[in-house]
Amino acid sequence: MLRKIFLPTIFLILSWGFWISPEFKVIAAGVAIFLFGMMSLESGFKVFTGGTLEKILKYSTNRVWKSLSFGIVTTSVMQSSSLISLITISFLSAGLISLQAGIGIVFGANLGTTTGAWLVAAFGLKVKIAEYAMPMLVFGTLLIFQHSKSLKGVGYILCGLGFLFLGIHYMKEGFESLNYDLDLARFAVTGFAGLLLYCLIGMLATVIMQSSHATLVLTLTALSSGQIGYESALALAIGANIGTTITAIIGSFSANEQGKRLALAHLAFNFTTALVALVLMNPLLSLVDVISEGLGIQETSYSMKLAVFHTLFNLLGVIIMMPAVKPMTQALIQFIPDKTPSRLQPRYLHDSAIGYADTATESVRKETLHIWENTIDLVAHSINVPREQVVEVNDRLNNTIKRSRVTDSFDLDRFYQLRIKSLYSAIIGFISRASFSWDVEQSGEVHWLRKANQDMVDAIKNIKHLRKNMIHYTQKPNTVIKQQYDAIRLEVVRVASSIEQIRYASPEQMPSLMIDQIRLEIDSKYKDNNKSVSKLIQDNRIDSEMAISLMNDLSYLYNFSTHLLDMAHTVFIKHNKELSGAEKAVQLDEQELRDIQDRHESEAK
Amino acid sequence: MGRKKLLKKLAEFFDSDMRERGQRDDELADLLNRLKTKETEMKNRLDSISDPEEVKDLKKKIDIVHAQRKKGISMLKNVRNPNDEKDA
Repeated sequence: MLRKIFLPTIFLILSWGFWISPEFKVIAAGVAIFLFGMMSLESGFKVFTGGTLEKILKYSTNRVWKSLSFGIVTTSVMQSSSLISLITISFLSAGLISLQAGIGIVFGANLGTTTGAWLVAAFGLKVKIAEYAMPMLVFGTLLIFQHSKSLKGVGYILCGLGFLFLGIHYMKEGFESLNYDLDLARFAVTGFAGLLLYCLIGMLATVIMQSSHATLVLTLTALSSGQIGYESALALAIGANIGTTITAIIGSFSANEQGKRLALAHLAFNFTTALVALVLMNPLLSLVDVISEGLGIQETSYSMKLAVFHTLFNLLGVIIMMPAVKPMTQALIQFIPDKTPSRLQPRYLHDSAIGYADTATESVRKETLHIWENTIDLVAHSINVPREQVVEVNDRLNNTIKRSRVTDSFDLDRFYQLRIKSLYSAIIGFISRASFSWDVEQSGEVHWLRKANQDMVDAIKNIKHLRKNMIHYTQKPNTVIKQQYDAIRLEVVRVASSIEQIRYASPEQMPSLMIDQIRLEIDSKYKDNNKSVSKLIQDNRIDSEMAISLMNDLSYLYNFSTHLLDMAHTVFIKHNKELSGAEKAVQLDEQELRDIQDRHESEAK
Repeated sequence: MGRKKLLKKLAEFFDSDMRERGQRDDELADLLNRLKTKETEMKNRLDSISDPEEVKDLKKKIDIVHAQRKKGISMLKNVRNPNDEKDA
C-alpha cells in the first residue's frame, strides 16, 4: 500500500514545488541530472567490471586491511559507495569472498566516498563547472554510439561525469537565485534538536534520492550560497551517511544470509559513526579547525571544512569499528543463522548474484554441485546401496550388494522431477535472466557447466534403463545372472565414488591425471564384461534373452560412466582454477588411451 | 636473485608472450618432476604385489603416467624451443 502511494506523493510534492518556486525547479532538475550522471557512471564502470574488478576483489581481500584499502580505492575512483556495496553483496552471496572481507570493503567504501565532497568543495564550487561538462557530454555521447564495448564504457563514464558537473552547476544556480527570494537560514533550528532534525532530513533525502553523494552535493551547494548554516550542513552530512545504508539493505533482500549480514554490518557501522559524530560534535569541530588551518583552508571556507569533517568522522568510525570486525562477524552469524538447505530448492541462484558475470558463473557452478549431490542420492536409491557406501567404497560394499535386491519401491521419475529437473530448469532460467553481456571466458564456462548438467541428466537416463532389468534379474533364482547385475551395481558405485575422489583430491594428487586412469578402466571393463557375456552364453550359464539384456545394460553402464566422467572433467578439472594449465594439458586424449589399451591387450594374448 | 634470473624476470615483465612461456615452462617442469616421482613409486610397488589382476592394473597405471610424462616432455621442448616448432 505504502509503495503504491509513495511515488504519486513525491510527484505531487514536486509539482507543487515547481509551481510555487522556479528556483526549486532548477535545484530539483540539478539533482535529477546529477543522479542521472551517477547512473551513467555506474553503467560505464560495469562495462569494465566483466572480470578485472572481480579478479582483483578475489585476490586482494584475504586480509581485513586489504579489503579496507580495496573499498577506499575503488569507491574513490567510481564515486559510488552504493555500487561497491552491491558488488560486495553479490560476491558474498556467491561465496567468492568472506563476510569479514565484505565488512572491510564496506568500511573502506565509507571512507572512499568522502573524496566526492573534496572534489565538489575544492573544484566543483569554485569554477564554471558547466564549461567542463559540455565537451564531456559531447564526446561521451559520440563514444556511446561506437560499436566497441570499451569505447561505449568510456562514453558512459564521460557522460556520467558531464551530467554530474551539470547537475552541480544547476544546483548552484538554483540556490544562488533562491537567495534573492528566500533565506532558508532564517528557519534554521539551533542546538542539539537542530542537529537531530537536520540529521533526519539528510537521512530522508538520501533514502529518497538513493544517493549520499547527491545529498552531500546539495548540502555543499546550499552551504556555499549561505542557505544553510555550517552546523546544519554537518548534521545533513551525518544523516546522509545513515541514509546510504538503505541501498545495501534493499540489495540484501534478494541476497542470502551472508548478504543480509553484510547489510546489517553496514547499518551498524554508519549508525555508530553517526552517533559518535553527534555526541562528539564540539571536539570534532575543534579538530576540523585545527586540520583546516594546517591544510591552509580559510576559516570561512565552510564547504572545504565540511569535506574535512566528512572525512574525519568516517575515519573515526573506521578506527573505532576495525578492531570489532571479527567479533562483529561472529555476532552476525549467530544473529542471522544459515537456513537449513533444502535438497529441492536451488541454494545458490540468488538474484543478488546475477548482476555480475563472475558471481553468476560461480552460482551456476555451485548449483551444479548441488545437482551432483542429488544425483548421488538418486544413484544410491536406484541400485539400493546406502549413500555413504556409494561415496566411499569400503569392505562392507560387496556384502551389502550380495545381500540386497533392487526393487521397484523407489520412484525414480518423481525423484528426478523434484530434485534434478527442477534445479536444472532453475539454472537455465537463471542464466537467461542475466542482463550483462558475458565475456568470452565466462560465457564459455557457463556453456560447459550447462553441458555438465546435461551429462548428469543423460547419466540418470541410462541408470533408469539399467534399473528395469536390474529389478527383474536381481530377484531371479539364477545366481549367475544375479551375480552379473550385482557386478554392474558394484561398477556403478565404483564410478560414483571415483568421481567423489576426484572432487575432493588436492592439487598434489593431480586429479586431472586420475581421470585418464578412470577412463581407461571404464573402457577396459566394458570390453572385459562383453567378453564375459560371450563366454557365459557359450558355457550355457545364461540364455540368449539374458545375454541380450546384459549386453544392452553393459552399454547403458558404459554411457552412464562416460557421461559422469565428462561432467567431472568439466566441473572438477577444466574450470578448477587451483589446477595448473600444464596438468590439464598433459591429459591423454582418446587415441593415446586407446594405444595403451591395445598394447596391454596384445601383451595379454 | 642472480643476474640471469633478474634479466629473465625483466624480459618477462615487458614481453607478455615470454611471460606466458616462462610460466608454462615452470608449471611443466614442476609437473614432470611430480610425475617422475609417481612413476618411480608405482614401479617400486610392483615387486611387492603378487595378485596378477592387481599387477595388471598397476602396470596400466604406470603406462598412463609414463605417457603423460612423455607428452609433458614434448610440450616442454616446444616451450623452450618455439622456433623448432615453427620451422617444423
